[in-house]
This record gives sequence, C-alpha cells and structure tokens, in this order.
Amino acid sequence: MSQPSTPILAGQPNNPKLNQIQQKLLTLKLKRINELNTNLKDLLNKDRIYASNASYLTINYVTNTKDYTIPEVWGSLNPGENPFRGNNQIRGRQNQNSKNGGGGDGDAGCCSIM
Amino acid sequence: MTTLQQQYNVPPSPATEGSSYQDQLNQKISQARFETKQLYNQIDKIKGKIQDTTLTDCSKDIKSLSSTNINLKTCQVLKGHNNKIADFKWSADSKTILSCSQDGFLIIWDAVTGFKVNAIPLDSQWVLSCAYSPNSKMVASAGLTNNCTIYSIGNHIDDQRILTVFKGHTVGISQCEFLNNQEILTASGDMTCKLWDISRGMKTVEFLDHYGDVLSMNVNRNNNTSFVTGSSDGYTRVFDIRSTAKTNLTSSFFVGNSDVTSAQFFKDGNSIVTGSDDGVIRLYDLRSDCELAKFSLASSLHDVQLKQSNQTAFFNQQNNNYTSSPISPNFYQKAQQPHGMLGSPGLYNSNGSSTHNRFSSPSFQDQNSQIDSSGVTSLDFSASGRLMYACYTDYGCIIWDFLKNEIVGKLEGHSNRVTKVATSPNGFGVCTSSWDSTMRLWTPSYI
Repeated sequence: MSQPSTPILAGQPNNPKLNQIQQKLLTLKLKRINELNTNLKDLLNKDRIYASNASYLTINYVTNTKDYTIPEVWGSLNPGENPFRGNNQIRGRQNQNSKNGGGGDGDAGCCSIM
Repeated sequence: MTTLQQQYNVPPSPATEGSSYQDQLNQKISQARFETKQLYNQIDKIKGKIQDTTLTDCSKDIKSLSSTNINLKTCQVLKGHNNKIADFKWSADSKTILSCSQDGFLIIWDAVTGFKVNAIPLDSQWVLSCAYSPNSKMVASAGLTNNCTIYSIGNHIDDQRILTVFKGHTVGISQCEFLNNQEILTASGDMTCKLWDISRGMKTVEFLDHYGDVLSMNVNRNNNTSFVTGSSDGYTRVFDIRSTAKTNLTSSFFVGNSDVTSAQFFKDGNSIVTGSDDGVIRLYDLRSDCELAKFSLASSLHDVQLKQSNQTAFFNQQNNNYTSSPISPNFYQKAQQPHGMLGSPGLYNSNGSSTHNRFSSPSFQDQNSQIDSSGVTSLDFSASGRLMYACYTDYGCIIWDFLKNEIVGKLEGHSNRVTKVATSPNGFGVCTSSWDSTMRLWTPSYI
C-alpha cells in the first residue's frame, strides 16, 4: 500500500504537523467505515421472511377483515348498522336548507329512501 | 502544540514512525472497504433470495373486483372553510373530524350530522397540518411558522385555549400527529422529526436520519410507537421511539430519485406504502424487508390514453358521471390492462407482445410525461385494506384494488385538487378534502 500524497504534503514530506493531521483523518475515515460495516452487519443479520410468505400474510389479513365497501365479498350493511347513515332526519333538513340557499350540489344522490 | 513539535523535532524517527503508522491505517482502511463490499454483496444476495414474488402474483387466484360494485356514496359535503383545506384528521372515536384550512381556522365537524362543533382561530393562516389527540381534548396545528401549537378544547365552543407552543424546528412543519395524550410528533423541512412531551412542554427525542425535507409522516396505529416518514431525499424510513440503540431507525428503503410525498402504514402495521412525485405507489414489507408491489397510474392508464386522444377531456367527461356515483361504470375495466407492475414478467407473456410493444419503446416515458408528473399527495386504505385510496395531484382520488393491482374506481365530486383522503378508525367512512374548500364524506349505503 503506497502512502497517498496530497499537494500540501508533497513539498514537505516530513512535516510532523501535517503528518499528524493526516493520521487523524485516516483514523476518522477508518472509524466511519467500521461504523458502516457494523450497520451493514446488523442489516445482514436482520430476520427476514420470504416475500411470498409476507404476501400470503397480507392477503390473509385482507380477506379476513370485514369491509362493507366491497358488497360482492362482504354483502351490505343492515339499516342502522352504519353510524354515518343514522341521521336521515337531520340530513333531510340540511338538504332542504341547502336547496333553499341555492348552494347545494352533489347531495342529491346521497339520501336513500327506505 | 509545542510539546508535539518538540516530540517530532527529532529526525528521522517521527516521520518514519508516522508514515509506517499511516501505512497501517491505510491497510486497515482498505481491509474495511473490502469488507464493506463483501457485506453489500451478501445483502444484495439475501434480498434477491427473499424477494421471490410480488403481492400481485400471489393474488392471481383471487377474483377481481367489479368496478361497478364499490359501495361508497357521498353522505356529507362539509362546507364552512373559505380557502384551501390543508389537512384533516379523524377523531379516535370516528365521531368528529378536525380540519385546517388556509383561511386560518381549525374546524371540528360532527361526522354524522355534518354540523360544525367547534372553530379555533389560528395565529397564522399558513397552516400545513393539524392533529387530534386520542381523547379528543386537544388539537394541534403546525405549518410554515415553524411552530407546533397545542390547543386544549372543551365541550363548549368558548372553552379553548393555547396549551403550549413548541418551537425548535428551523423550517416549516409538514406533518404533526399525536402519539398519545402526552406526546406529539412533528416532521419538518429541516430534515428532522421531533417528539415533544406536552405536559413537560419540551422536546424529548430527535430523529435525524433523513438527508432531505421530511414531507410526510404516519404513525402506526397498531402500536402507537413506530412511525414512517417520506422525504425529499428519496428514502422512506421507519422509526421506533422505544428503540434503545443509538438511532431509532428500524427500516429504510430507497424509493427513487423523486420526492416521497406520502407514506402510510398498511392496516396490519406490517407493511408501508409510499407515494412519490413520479406518480408511483410502492408497497414495502417490514417483515421481509423488500418491495412487494408497485402501483403505476401511468402504465394503468396508458391503454386509455391510446384510445382517448386527450386525457383531460376524458376525465372531464367522467366528471359528469361521477357526481352521484363514485364508481366508474365501464371505463376502468379497460384501464386494468396492463397491471401496474411493469416489472412483472407474467405480464408480457400472458398478454402477448403486440399490445404491449410500447414497453420496449424508448419514448414510452416521454409519451407519458404528463401522467408521470402527477404526484401522489395522499394514501389510505379501506377497512380491510382491499381498497387503496390514492390522491394524485391531477387525477383526484383513485381507488386501487390493493391485491390485484387494478384501478376499480374514483371518488369524484370535488371541483379542485384533492389534498387528502383518510378512512375513519371504525372503517365505515372515508373523507376527502380539497382545494375547493369542501370536504366530502363517503360511506357504504344500505341496499
């Protein structure tokens, strides 16, 4: 391994001060690389499961959790089960207000008459 | 210094000693570098072995969802803000929604009736994020003032006061979220995330691993101790506040060269999804430490683009159909081919090369530059995680079938950019907020 020479050191090969700075820099460099290696070793030793396994676990979770946005899998809610659709009276009044105020839009299709 | 000079003034030994010591150091460095290279190789090898399939390939046997059959209808349009809505959060009991807007107000809405429950005037209108404590007694706002302000709120509208103002970030705060009733997390453009203790009124932990602005953050609600961040350095990282190691970093994935604008935990807390400025959504699994799926709007919409000369005209045309029903009647079936996974080998074989020869064309990216530029602003899942709601800057809120990697619909109704989508904790409602100053609440209807 040949000693690396910088332009500053080129003219003063035996300058002790510069030698010392260079030593410090090299020590720091070595420390950094060793830290990186330790992190990489931790990463290497990390427990991993196969992607196929993880995929099946994810699919398992998705297919076993109730989701009423997908009626073809989970069917639909019985009236009264959805907390956000439990207040037709208030919503009716609100729609009427918005119609009177002329600001209503998009609400037209939201009420279901049962 | 003089002592050192004196020590080294005696020639020639110091120089030779120094150089030999330097030689030793250099040798050690080259050895360490060699080790690094070996370690990288080994990690690559293991990751290649682990990544044996994708979620889409594993879901081949699962039936596709019919795009006409997604049961989500608007039940409320929340009107009251008079400027762009920057952020909103659901309360833990799903009964109320907290929103913040650039009109300088935080508003709390009753999600069932759509009425306003409380309004909190902010010191600064430049708010980017808000947060709602699990006990619904505190709210927080944060933004371009670099501060995170915690307000205490009571049952009465007059019962509101500033609890504390957390100062410490040097750039704007992009996201804030309560971990519990005592602690709040903030993510900032100063490349850090900070954990603050509310009762003590001080910072407790600082997370320093990003090299770019932290643009998004999401807490794992399964354990409330880990959180995921997305940054402009192209990385998404997962931190755990319980970690006793030097760093709280538990996982890290390089997403790409574009900003990671949204990061979200999957419902079970074992994987994360990221949305970036290139319009691609990626799924990473924390158990297998690798990418499991890739959802690309550009490739999914490409077939449509070939058929429709003008992409914008298509979406405008769709607008008319979507005001009452969020689900596309027939169009998205066409959009389902090809699947988002460009890298999936099965795609080329099963569909034949003639229809997909564009992939080999070098100008493919150029043709799609318009779509590519549409970044992902927000992501969330339906109750089971089967549906993934994704907000794109130019295309509104699109619904993906998470398992099959297909587009199954769109939440259509806003007249301007959709900024955020979030499912209620009880899973029954989905809320979207927009620059049109309204929020829409979507929920399954009874048949």
